[in-house]
Amino acid sequence: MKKIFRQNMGLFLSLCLFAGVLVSNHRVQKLYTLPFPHFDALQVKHTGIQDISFILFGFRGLAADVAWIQLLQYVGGPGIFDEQSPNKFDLVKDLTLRVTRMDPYYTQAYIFGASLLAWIKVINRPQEALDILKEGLEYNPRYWPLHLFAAGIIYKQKNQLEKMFEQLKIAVTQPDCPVVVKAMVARSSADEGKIEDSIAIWRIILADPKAWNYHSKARTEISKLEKRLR
Amino acid sequence: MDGLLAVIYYTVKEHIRNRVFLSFLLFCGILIGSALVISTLAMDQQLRMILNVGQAGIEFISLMAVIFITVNLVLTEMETRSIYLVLSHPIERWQYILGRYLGTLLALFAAMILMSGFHLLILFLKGWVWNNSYLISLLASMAKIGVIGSLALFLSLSTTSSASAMSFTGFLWVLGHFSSELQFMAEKSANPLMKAALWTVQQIAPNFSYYNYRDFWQAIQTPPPAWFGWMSLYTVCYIGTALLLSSWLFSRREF
Repeated sequence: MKKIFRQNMGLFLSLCLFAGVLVSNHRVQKLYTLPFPHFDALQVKHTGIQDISFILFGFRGLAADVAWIQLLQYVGGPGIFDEQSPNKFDLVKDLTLRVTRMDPYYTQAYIFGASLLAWIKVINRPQEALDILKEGLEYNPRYWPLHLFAAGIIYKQKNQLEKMFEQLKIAVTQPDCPVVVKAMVARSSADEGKIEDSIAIWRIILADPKAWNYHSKARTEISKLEKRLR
Repeated sequence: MDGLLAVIYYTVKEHIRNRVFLSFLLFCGILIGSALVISTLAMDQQLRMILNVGQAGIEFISLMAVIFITVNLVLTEMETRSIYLVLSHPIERWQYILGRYLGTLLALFAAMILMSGFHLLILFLKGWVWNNSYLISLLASMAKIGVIGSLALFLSLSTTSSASAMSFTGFLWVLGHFSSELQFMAEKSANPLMKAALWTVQQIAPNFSYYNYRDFWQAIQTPPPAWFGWMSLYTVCYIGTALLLSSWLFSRREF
Protein backbone atom coordinates (compact mmCIF):
# COMPACT_ATOMS: atom_id res chain seq x y z
CA MET A 1 0.00 0.00 0.00
CA LYS A 2 2.78 2.33 1.04
CA LYS A 3 4.67 1.44 -2.12
CA ILE A 4 1.67 2.20 -4.35
CA PHE A 5 1.22 5.53 -2.61
CA ARG A 6 4.89 6.40 -3.01
CA GLN A 7 4.86 5.43 -6.69
CA ASN A 8 1.76 7.49 -7.37
CA MET A 9 2.45 10.39 -5.05
CA GLY A 10 2.57 12.78 -8.01
CA LEU A 11 -0.93 11.70 -9.02
CA PHE A 12 -2.35 12.13 -5.50
CA LEU A 13 -0.71 15.51 -5.06
CA SER A 14 -2.00 16.68 -8.42
CA LEU A 15 -5.53 15.69 -7.38
CA CYS A 16 -5.13 17.82 -4.24
CA LEU A 17 -3.89 20.76 -6.31
CA PHE A 18 -6.75 20.30 -8.75
CA ALA A 19 -9.13 20.81 -5.83
CA GLY A 20 -7.36 24.15 -5.42
CA VAL A 21 -8.05 24.86 -9.11
CA LEU A 22 -11.77 24.19 -8.62
CA VAL A 23 -12.03 26.33 -5.47
CA SER A 24 -10.09 29.26 -6.93
CA ASN A 25 -11.99 29.06 -10.23
CA HIS A 26 -15.26 29.23 -8.29
CA ARG A 27 -14.05 32.29 -6.33
CA VAL A 28 -12.75 33.99 -9.49
CA GLN A 29 -16.14 33.58 -11.17
CA LYS A 30 -18.05 34.72 -8.07
CA LEU A 31 -15.92 37.84 -7.60
CA TYR A 32 -16.04 39.09 -11.18
CA THR A 33 -18.15 38.41 -14.23
CA LEU A 34 -16.56 39.19 -17.56
CA PRO A 35 -18.25 42.36 -18.84
CA PHE A 36 -18.93 41.26 -22.42
CA PRO A 37 -22.05 40.32 -24.34
CA HIS A 38 -22.32 36.57 -24.97
CA PHE A 39 -21.84 35.05 -28.41
CA ASP A 40 -25.57 35.07 -29.12
CA ALA A 41 -25.51 38.90 -29.03
CA LEU A 42 -22.69 39.26 -31.57
CA GLN A 43 -23.54 40.65 -35.00
CA VAL A 44 -22.47 37.57 -36.96
CA LYS A 45 -24.66 37.88 -40.05
CA HIS A 46 -21.83 38.70 -42.45
CA THR A 47 -18.55 37.96 -40.70
CA GLY A 48 -19.34 35.43 -38.01
CA ILE A 49 -16.44 33.05 -38.58
CA GLN A 50 -13.89 35.85 -38.61
CA ASP A 51 -15.16 37.47 -35.41
CA ILE A 52 -15.66 34.28 -33.42
CA SER A 53 -12.26 32.90 -34.49
CA PHE A 54 -10.53 36.04 -33.26
CA ILE A 55 -12.36 35.89 -29.92
CA LEU A 56 -11.69 32.18 -29.46
CA PHE A 57 -8.00 32.80 -30.00
CA GLY A 58 -8.16 35.46 -27.29
CA PHE A 59 -7.88 38.55 -29.45
CA ARG A 60 -11.16 40.36 -28.78
CA GLY A 61 -9.69 43.87 -28.97
CA LEU A 62 -7.97 43.13 -32.26
CA ALA A 63 -11.21 41.65 -33.64
CA ALA A 64 -12.98 44.92 -32.82
CA ASP A 65 -10.18 46.87 -34.54
CA VAL A 66 -10.51 44.81 -37.70
CA ALA A 67 -14.28 45.30 -37.62
CA TRP A 68 -13.70 49.04 -37.12
CA ILE A 69 -11.52 49.20 -40.25
CA GLN A 70 -14.18 47.28 -42.18
CA LEU A 71 -16.81 49.78 -40.98
CA LEU A 72 -14.61 52.64 -42.21
CA GLN A 73 -14.16 50.90 -45.55
CA TYR A 74 -17.92 50.43 -45.86
CA VAL A 75 -18.77 54.08 -45.24
CA GLY A 76 -15.69 55.34 -47.05
CA GLY A 77 -17.05 54.30 -50.43
CA PRO A 78 -18.47 56.79 -52.90
CA GLY A 79 -21.75 58.52 -52.25
CA ILE A 80 -21.78 59.27 -48.56
CA PHE A 81 -22.03 63.03 -49.10
CA ASP A 82 -24.05 62.75 -52.32
CA GLU A 83 -27.76 63.29 -51.68
CA GLN A 84 -28.65 61.56 -54.95
CA SER A 85 -26.66 58.46 -54.03
CA PRO A 86 -28.58 55.19 -54.48
CA ASN A 87 -26.57 53.68 -51.62
CA LYS A 88 -28.43 54.34 -48.38
CA PHE A 89 -25.75 52.69 -46.22
CA ASP A 90 -28.20 50.25 -44.66
CA LEU A 91 -25.50 48.34 -42.79
CA VAL A 92 -24.12 51.22 -40.73
CA LYS A 93 -26.01 50.25 -37.57
CA ASP A 94 -25.20 46.54 -37.90
CA LEU A 95 -21.54 47.16 -38.61
CA THR A 96 -21.23 49.61 -35.71
CA LEU A 97 -22.86 47.15 -33.33
CA ARG A 98 -20.56 44.47 -34.68
CA VAL A 99 -17.60 46.52 -33.41
CA THR A 100 -19.13 47.51 -30.11
CA ARG A 101 -20.51 44.10 -29.17
CA MET A 102 -17.05 42.65 -29.50
CA ASP A 103 -15.58 45.54 -27.52
CA PRO A 104 -18.34 47.38 -25.64
CA TYR A 105 -15.78 49.92 -24.37
CA TYR A 106 -14.91 51.18 -27.84
CA THR A 107 -16.55 54.56 -27.16
CA GLN A 108 -15.33 56.18 -30.38
CA ALA A 109 -17.17 53.56 -32.43
CA TYR A 110 -20.51 54.43 -30.79
CA ILE A 111 -19.94 58.14 -31.49
CA PHE A 112 -18.83 57.53 -35.07
CA GLY A 113 -21.70 55.18 -35.96
CA ALA A 114 -24.34 57.34 -34.27
CA SER A 115 -23.00 60.52 -35.91
CA LEU A 116 -23.14 58.92 -39.35
CA LEU A 117 -26.71 57.78 -38.81
CA ALA A 118 -27.88 61.08 -37.37
CA TRP A 119 -26.06 63.75 -39.33
CA ILE A 120 -25.26 62.43 -42.77
CA LYS A 121 -28.10 63.53 -45.03
CA VAL A 122 -28.02 60.50 -47.31
CA ILE A 123 -28.38 58.18 -44.30
CA ASN A 124 -30.52 60.19 -41.85
CA ARG A 125 -31.74 57.49 -39.45
CA PRO A 126 -31.58 59.23 -36.03
CA GLN A 127 -33.56 56.50 -34.25
CA GLU A 128 -30.91 53.93 -35.15
CA ALA A 129 -28.27 56.38 -33.92
CA LEU A 130 -30.07 56.61 -30.59
CA ASP A 131 -30.24 52.81 -30.36
CA ILE A 132 -26.47 52.66 -30.74
CA LEU A 133 -25.87 55.36 -28.14
CA LYS A 134 -28.32 53.72 -25.73
CA GLU A 135 -26.28 50.52 -25.91
CA GLY A 136 -23.09 52.52 -25.49
CA LEU A 137 -24.47 54.19 -22.37
CA GLU A 138 -25.34 50.83 -20.83
CA TYR A 139 -21.66 49.86 -20.88
CA ASN A 140 -20.13 53.33 -20.49
CA PRO A 141 -22.53 55.35 -18.31
CA ARG A 142 -19.75 57.66 -17.12
CA TYR A 143 -18.55 58.56 -20.61
CA TRP A 144 -20.38 61.84 -20.88
CA PRO A 145 -19.85 62.62 -24.63
CA LEU A 146 -22.31 59.79 -25.35
CA HIS A 147 -24.95 61.67 -23.31
CA LEU A 148 -24.13 64.83 -25.24
CA PHE A 149 -24.53 63.20 -28.64
CA ALA A 150 -27.75 61.47 -27.53
CA ALA A 151 -29.17 64.84 -26.41
CA GLY A 152 -28.16 66.35 -29.76
CA ILE A 153 -29.99 63.61 -31.67
CA ILE A 154 -33.11 63.96 -29.52
CA TYR A 155 -33.15 67.71 -30.27
CA LYS A 156 -32.81 66.90 -33.96
CA GLN A 157 -35.78 64.51 -33.76
CA LYS A 158 -37.81 67.25 -32.06
CA ASN A 159 -36.65 69.67 -34.75
CA GLN A 160 -34.99 71.92 -32.15
CA LEU A 161 -31.93 72.56 -34.31
CA GLU A 162 -30.57 75.47 -32.26
CA LYS A 163 -30.36 73.28 -29.17
CA MET A 164 -28.93 70.44 -31.21
CA PHE A 165 -26.07 72.61 -32.51
CA GLU A 166 -25.39 73.88 -28.99
CA GLN A 167 -24.86 70.29 -27.87
CA LEU A 168 -22.71 69.49 -30.86
CA LYS A 169 -20.54 72.57 -30.39
CA ILE A 170 -19.65 71.34 -26.89
CA ALA A 171 -19.02 67.83 -28.20
CA VAL A 172 -16.66 68.79 -31.01
CA THR A 173 -14.46 70.93 -28.80
CA GLN A 174 -13.56 67.86 -26.71
CA PRO A 175 -10.06 66.56 -27.45
CA ASP A 176 -11.21 62.93 -27.65
CA CYS A 177 -13.96 63.67 -30.17
CA PRO A 178 -13.04 61.76 -33.36
CA VAL A 179 -11.87 64.06 -36.19
CA VAL A 180 -14.20 62.35 -38.62
CA VAL A 181 -17.16 63.26 -36.36
CA LYS A 182 -15.94 66.87 -36.18
CA ALA A 183 -15.83 66.92 -39.99
CA MET A 184 -19.35 65.49 -40.16
CA VAL A 185 -20.72 68.11 -37.75
CA ALA A 186 -18.90 70.90 -39.66
CA ARG A 187 -20.53 69.74 -42.89
CA SER A 188 -23.93 69.38 -41.27
CA SER A 189 -23.66 72.89 -39.78
CA ALA A 190 -22.86 74.34 -43.22
CA ASP A 191 -25.83 72.47 -44.72
CA GLU A 192 -28.11 74.04 -42.10
CA GLY A 193 -26.76 77.50 -42.95
CA LYS A 194 -24.58 77.85 -39.85
CA ILE A 195 -21.55 78.93 -41.85
CA GLU A 196 -19.66 80.60 -38.98
CA ASP A 197 -20.08 77.56 -36.75
CA SER A 198 -18.90 75.33 -39.57
CA ILE A 199 -15.79 77.49 -40.12
CA ALA A 200 -15.08 77.38 -36.38
CA ILE A 201 -15.17 73.56 -36.38
CA TRP A 202 -12.92 73.31 -39.45
CA ARG A 203 -10.48 75.66 -37.63
CA ILE A 204 -10.50 73.31 -34.61
CA ILE A 205 -9.57 70.48 -36.99
CA LEU A 206 -6.84 72.63 -38.58
CA ALA A 207 -5.35 73.39 -35.16
CA ASP A 208 -5.17 69.70 -34.24
CA PRO A 209 -1.76 68.27 -35.28
CA LYS A 210 -3.10 64.70 -34.97
CA ALA A 211 -5.72 65.47 -37.65
CA TRP A 212 -3.01 66.22 -40.24
CA ASN A 213 -4.77 64.15 -42.89
CA TYR A 214 -7.79 66.48 -42.63
CA HIS A 215 -5.81 69.74 -42.81
CA SER A 216 -5.92 70.15 -46.57
CA LYS A 217 -9.68 69.41 -46.59
CA ALA A 218 -10.19 71.90 -43.73
CA ARG A 219 -8.33 74.67 -45.62
CA THR A 220 -10.41 74.09 -48.76
CA GLU A 221 -13.68 74.07 -46.79
CA ILE A 222 -12.76 77.22 -44.84
CA SER A 223 -11.98 79.15 -48.03
CA LYS A 224 -15.22 77.91 -49.67
CA LEU A 225 -17.31 78.86 -46.63
CA GLU A 226 -15.63 82.27 -46.28
CA LYS A 227 -16.57 83.00 -49.89
CA ARG A 228 -20.17 82.07 -49.06
CA LEU A 229 -20.09 84.46 -46.09
CA ARG A 230 -19.02 87.39 -48.31
CA MET B 1 18.33 22.17 -5.48
CA ASP B 2 21.65 22.38 -7.34
CA GLY B 3 20.38 19.81 -9.82
CA LEU B 4 17.23 21.85 -10.45
CA LEU B 5 19.20 25.07 -10.95
CA ALA B 6 21.58 23.29 -13.33
CA VAL B 7 18.66 22.06 -15.47
CA ILE B 8 17.10 25.54 -15.49
CA TYR B 9 20.44 27.08 -16.49
CA TYR B 10 21.11 24.71 -19.36
CA THR B 11 17.51 24.99 -20.61
CA VAL B 12 17.70 28.79 -20.74
CA LYS B 13 21.08 28.60 -22.49
CA GLU B 14 19.73 26.05 -24.98
CA HIS B 15 16.77 28.28 -25.88
CA ILE B 16 18.83 31.43 -26.25
CA ARG B 17 21.09 29.60 -28.70
CA ASN B 18 18.12 28.08 -30.53
CA ARG B 19 17.53 29.59 -33.97
CA VAL B 20 13.81 28.80 -33.90
CA PHE B 21 13.46 30.75 -30.67
CA LEU B 22 15.33 33.72 -32.12
CA SER B 23 13.26 33.63 -35.29
CA PHE B 24 10.08 33.83 -33.17
CA LEU B 25 11.53 36.95 -31.58
CA LEU B 26 12.40 38.45 -34.94
CA PHE B 27 8.97 37.62 -36.34
CA CYS B 28 7.31 39.36 -33.41
CA GLY B 29 9.47 42.43 -34.01
CA ILE B 30 8.28 42.50 -37.61
CA LEU B 31 4.67 42.02 -36.48
CA ILE B 32 4.84 44.89 -33.99
CA GLY B 33 6.56 47.06 -36.58
CA SER B 34 3.87 46.25 -39.12
CA ALA B 35 1.27 47.50 -36.62
CA LEU B 36 2.53 50.97 -37.53
CA VAL B 37 1.49 50.40 -41.14
CA ILE B 38 -1.79 48.58 -40.47
CA SER B 39 -2.88 51.11 -37.87
CA THR B 40 -2.94 53.94 -40.43
CA LEU B 41 -6.14 52.32 -41.75
CA ALA B 42 -7.85 52.92 -38.40
CA MET B 43 -7.82 56.72 -38.85
CA ASP B 44 -7.73 58.44 -35.45
CA GLN B 45 -7.76 55.10 -33.63
CA GLN B 46 -4.16 54.48 -34.65
CA LEU B 47 -2.79 54.31 -31.10
CA ARG B 48 -5.46 51.90 -29.97
CA MET B 49 -4.69 49.67 -32.93
CA ILE B 50 -0.91 49.72 -32.34
CA LEU B 51 -1.61 48.80 -28.72
CA ASN B 52 -3.93 45.93 -29.61
CA VAL B 53 -1.88 44.54 -32.51
CA GLY B 54 1.26 44.65 -30.37
CA GLN B 55 -0.26 42.96 -27.33
CA ALA B 56 -1.99 40.33 -29.45
CA GLY B 57 1.18 39.78 -31.48
CA ILE B 58 3.33 39.28 -28.38
CA GLU B 59 0.85 36.79 -26.96
CA PHE B 60 0.39 34.93 -30.25
CA ILE B 61 4.11 34.57 -30.90
CA SER B 62 4.67 33.50 -27.29
CA LEU B 63 1.89 30.94 -27.66
CA MET B 64 3.44 29.53 -30.83
CA ALA B 65 6.87 29.46 -29.20
CA VAL B 66 5.65 27.82 -25.99
CA ILE B 67 3.74 25.13 -27.91
CA PHE B 68 6.58 24.26 -30.30
CA ILE B 69 9.32 24.45 -27.71
CA THR B 70 7.58 22.77 -24.76
CA VAL B 71 6.13 19.90 -26.76
CA ASN B 72 9.58 19.04 -28.09
CA LEU B 73 11.36 19.84 -24.83
CA VAL B 74 11.49 16.33 -23.41
CA LEU B 75 10.48 14.38 -26.53
CA THR B 76 13.59 15.45 -28.48
CA GLU B 77 15.87 14.43 -25.64
CA MET B 78 14.09 11.08 -25.48
CA GLU B 79 14.41 10.56 -29.24
CA THR B 80 18.09 11.56 -29.37
CA ARG B 81 18.68 9.50 -26.21
CA SER B 82 20.50 12.40 -24.56
CA ILE B 83 18.03 11.93 -21.71
CA TYR B 84 20.17 8.98 -20.53
CA LEU B 85 23.09 11.30 -20.13
CA VAL B 86 21.05 13.87 -18.20
CA LEU B 87 19.47 11.30 -15.89
CA SER B 88 22.81 9.71 -15.16
CA HIS B 89 23.56 12.85 -13.14
CA PRO B 90 22.39 13.02 -9.53
CA ILE B 91 19.04 14.68 -10.25
CA GLU B 92 15.52 13.50 -9.51
CA ARG B 93 13.10 13.08 -12.41
CA TRP B 94 10.73 15.70 -10.99
CA GLN B 95 13.67 18.12 -10.83
CA TYR B 96 14.34 17.48 -14.49
CA ILE B 97 10.70 18.17 -15.48
CA LEU B 98 10.41 21.25 -13.26
CA GLY B 99 13.80 22.58 -14.37
CA ARG B 100 13.03 22.16 -18.05
CA TYR B 101 9.66 23.89 -17.61
CA LEU B 102 11.01 26.77 -15.53
CA GLY B 103 13.98 27.26 -17.86
CA THR B 104 11.68 27.47 -20.88
CA LEU B 105 9.37 29.86 -19.08
CA LEU B 106 12.27 32.09 -18.02
CA ALA B 107 13.57 32.30 -21.59
CA LEU B 108 10.06 33.00 -22.90
CA PHE B 109 9.33 35.65 -20.27
CA ALA B 110 12.61 37.37 -21.09
CA ALA B 111 11.57 37.35 -24.76
CA MET B 112 8.12 38.71 -23.87
CA ILE B 113 9.69 41.54 -21.85
CA LEU B 114 12.01 42.34 -24.75
CA MET B 115 9.11 42.35 -27.22
CA SER B 116 7.05 44.54 -24.88
CA GLY B 117 9.97 46.95 -24.58
CA PHE B 118 10.02 47.31 -28.36
CA HIS B 119 6.24 47.67 -28.41
CA LEU B 120 6.35 50.37 -25.72
CA LEU B 121 9.04 52.23 -27.64
CA ILE B 122 6.76 52.43 -30.68
CA LEU B 123 3.80 53.44 -28.51
CA PHE B 124 5.75 56.23 -26.80
CA LEU B 125 7.04 57.49 -30.15
CA LYS B 126 3.41 57.72 -31.25
CA GLY B 127 2.49 59.76 -28.16
CA TRP B 128 0.98 57.08 -25.95
CA VAL B 129 0.78 57.89 -22.23
CA TRP B 130 1.85 55.15 -19.79
CA ASN B 131 -0.96 53.23 -18.13
CA ASN B 132 -0.37 50.64 -15.38
CA SER B 133 -2.93 48.40 -17.07
CA TYR B 134 -0.29 47.62 -19.69
CA LEU B 135 1.88 46.01 -17.03
CA ILE B 136 -1.05 44.05 -15.56
CA SER B 137 -2.01 42.89 -19.07
CA LEU B 138 1.56 41.73 -19.69
CA LEU B 139 1.67 39.84 -16.38
CA ALA B 140 -1.70 38.24 -17.15
CA SER B 141 -0.43 37.25 -20.58
CA MET B 142 2.67 35.70 -19.01
CA ALA B 143 0.51 33.73 -16.58
CA LYS B 144 -1.57 32.47 -19.50
CA ILE B 145 1.58 31.36 -21.34
CA GLY B 146 2.71 29.64 -18.12
CA VAL B 147 -0.54 27.67 -17.91
CA ILE B 148 -0.56 26.64 -21.57
CA GLY B 149 3.13 25.71 -21.34
CA SER B 150 2.48 23.35 -18.43
CA LEU B 151 -0.41 21.78 -20.35
CA ALA B 152 1.76 21.39 -23.47
CA LEU B 153 4.40 19.61 -21.40
CA PHE B 154 1.80 17.29 -19.87
CA LEU B 155 0.29 16.51 -23.28
CA SER B 156 3.71 15.88 -24.84
CA LEU B 157 4.31 13.19 -22.23
CA SER B 158 0.85 11.68 -22.40
CA THR B 159 0.35 11.51 -26.19
CA THR B 160 2.25 9.47 -28.72
CA SER B 161 3.50 12.18 -31.07
CA SER B 162 4.47 15.81 -30.93
CA ALA B 163 1.91 16.66 -33.64
CA SER B 164 -0.98 15.35 -31.55
CA ALA B 165 0.36 17.12 -28.45
CA MET B 166 0.52 20.40 -30.37
CA SER B 167 -3.00 19.93 -31.74
CA PHE B 168 -4.43 19.14 -28.31
CA THR B 169 -2.67 22.15 -26.79
CA GLY B 170 -4.10 24.37 -29.52
CA PHE B 171 -7.53 22.90 -28.87
CA LEU B 172 -7.20 23.63 -25.14
CA TRP B 173 -6.21 27.22 -25.92
CA VAL B 174 -9.40 27.72 -27.92
CA LEU B 175 -11.51 25.84 -25.37
CA GLY B 176 -10.05 28.01 -22.62
CA HIS B 177 -11.34 31.12 -24.36
CA PHE B 178 -14.73 29.51 -24.79
CA SER B 179 -15.20 28.52 -21.14
CA SER B 180 -17.26 31.59 -20.13
CA GLU B 181 -19.59 30.74 -23.02
CA LEU B 182 -19.71 27.13 -21.82
CA GLN B 183 -20.81 28.39 -18.42
CA PHE B 184 -23.49 30.53 -20.08
CA MET B 185 -24.68 27.54 -22.12
CA ALA B 186 -24.77 25.36 -19.00
CA GLU B 187 -26.91 27.96 -17.23
CA LYS B 188 -29.31 28.18 -20.18
CA SER B 189 -29.53 24.47 -20.93
CA ALA B 190 -32.76 22.73 -19.90
CA ASN B 191 -31.28 19.24 -20.26
CA PRO B 192 -29.68 18.22 -16.91
CA LEU B 193 -27.23 15.85 -18.62
CA MET B 194 -26.04 18.54 -21.00
CA LYS B 195 -25.88 21.00 -18.12
CA ALA B 196 -23.68 18.64 -16.11
CA ALA B 197 -21.42 17.88 -19.08
CA LEU B 198 -20.93 21.56 -19.94
CA TRP B 199 -20.33 22.45 -16.31
CA THR B 200 -17.71 19.70 -15.95
CA VAL B 201 -15.84 20.74 -19.11
CA GLN B 202 -15.97 24.36 -18.03
CA GLN B 203 -14.51 23.51 -14.62
CA ILE B 204 -11.71 21.32 -15.97
CA ALA B 205 -10.65 23.44 -18.96
CA PRO B 206 -8.46 26.44 -18.15
CA ASN B 207 -10.40 29.69 -18.12
CA PHE B 208 -8.22 31.82 -20.40
CA SER B 209 -10.71 34.67 -20.92
CA TYR B 210 -9.98 35.84 -17.39
CA TYR B 211 -6.33 36.39 -18.32
CA ASN B 212 -7.29 38.85 -21.08
CA TYR B 213 -7.08 41.84 -18.78
CA ARG B 214 -6.29 44.03 -21.82
CA ASP B 215 -9.90 43.51 -22.96
CA PHE B 216 -11.65 44.70 -19.81
CA TRP B 217 -9.47 47.22 -18.03
CA GLN B 218 -11.64 49.99 -19.49
CA ALA B 219 -14.86 48.45 -18.14
CA ILE B 220 -16.87 50.46 -15.64
CA GLN B 221 -16.38 47.73 -13.08
CA THR B 222 -12.87 46.33 -12.93
CA PRO B 223 -12.00 43.27 -10.81
CA PRO B 224 -11.52 43.84 -7.05
CA PRO B 225 -8.00 43.28 -5.58
CA ALA B 226 -9.08 39.92 -4.07
CA TRP B 227 -9.84 38.68 -7.58
CA PHE B 228 -6.19 39.06 -8.57
CA GLY B 229 -5.21 37.00 -5.53
CA TRP B 230 -7.60 34.19 -6.49
CA MET B 231 -6.43 34.37 -10.11
CA SER B 232 -2.82 33.96 -8.94
CA LEU B 233 -3.82 30.96 -6.84
CA TYR B 234 -5.75 29.53 -9.79
CA THR B 235 -2.69 29.90 -12.04
CA VAL B 236 -0.31 28.34 -9.52
CA CYS B 237 -2.69 25.42 -8.83
CA TYR B 238 -3.29 24.80 -12.54
CA ILE B 239 0.40 24.85 -13.41
CA GLY B 240 1.17 22.74 -10.33
CA THR B 241 -1.43 20.13 -11.30
CA ALA B 242 -0.12 19.86 -14.86
CA LEU B 243 3.52 19.66 -13.72
CA LEU B 244 2.80 17.03 -11.07
CA LEU B 245 0.96 14.94 -13.63
CA SER B 246 3.85 15.39 -16.10
CA SER B 247 6.33 14.41 -13.44
CA TRP B 248 4.21 11.36 -12.51
CA LEU B 249 4.01 10.27 -16.16
CA PHE B 250 7.73 10.84 -16.63
CA SER B 251 8.57 8.84 -13.50
CA ARG B 252 6.69 5.85 -14.92
CA ARG B 253 8.72 5.83 -18.13
CA GLU B 254 11.53 3.35 -18.34
CA PHE B 255 14.89 4.59 -19.54
